[in-house]
Amino acid sequence: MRHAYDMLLRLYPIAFRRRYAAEMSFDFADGWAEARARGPLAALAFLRRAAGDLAVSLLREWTRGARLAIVAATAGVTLLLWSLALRPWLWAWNIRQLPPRPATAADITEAELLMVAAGAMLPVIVVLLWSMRLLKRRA
Amino acid sequence: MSAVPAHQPLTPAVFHVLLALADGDKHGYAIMKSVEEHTSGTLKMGAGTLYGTLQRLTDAGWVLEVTPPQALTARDEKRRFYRLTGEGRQALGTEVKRLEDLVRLARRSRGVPKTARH
Repeated sequence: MRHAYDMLLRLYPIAFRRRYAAEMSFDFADGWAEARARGPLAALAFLRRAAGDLAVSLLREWTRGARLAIVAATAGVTLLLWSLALRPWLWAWNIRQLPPRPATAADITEAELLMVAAGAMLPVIVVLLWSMRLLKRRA
Repeated sequence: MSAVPAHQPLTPAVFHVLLALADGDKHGYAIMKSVEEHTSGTLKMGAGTLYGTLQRLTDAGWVLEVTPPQALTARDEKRRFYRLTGEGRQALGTEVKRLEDLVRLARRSRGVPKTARH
């Protein structure tokens, strides 16, 4: 179990890993031994807690110092996608009513929009994280 | 690296780590056990949260790494120990004072149930 945890510790940013991974591994081993001694339910609860902590702290460590940029990028991409979905440049700005038309294959569906949103946000976040780390390293 | 703001309410993780270190130098696992003990098991801090918090506190100058004390087990010798600095102690004191003021205010309030005022 400790070996698996040690493998997962490799997912942390390198600076954090170099500084704390050995201690985290020790602590996990001690906690795991203690939980196992208390029984299978305690061991299960320990693993669940360790997995939750790992997920949350991984996200926290990777986004440290770049959270504002991620919020700004997410807001920007959301705005862009909503404007693509609503297409205000096609709105009839004059009062004249346009006749209703049936949906065509060219119209974007909500599911497609969600997929585009997810796909568009991911590279933006990755590029932001990468550039923030690069800037930090240069500083 | 983001430093811990000095005049804002501390997060529960920061507060409990500072409180654990107020008793004396400790390594990470001892801090975790101390937090668990202080909160009667309601807060069990994971390693990722603990070391992330320690990193922020070290960067802010509230906590520093110290050489392990003498007469330790072989296992503990491999661990790093952490100590509360004067600034950290001051921040903890400020937070305790803030919490005391809040509790005093709540106890004076008529809307708070009597059972919570003791």
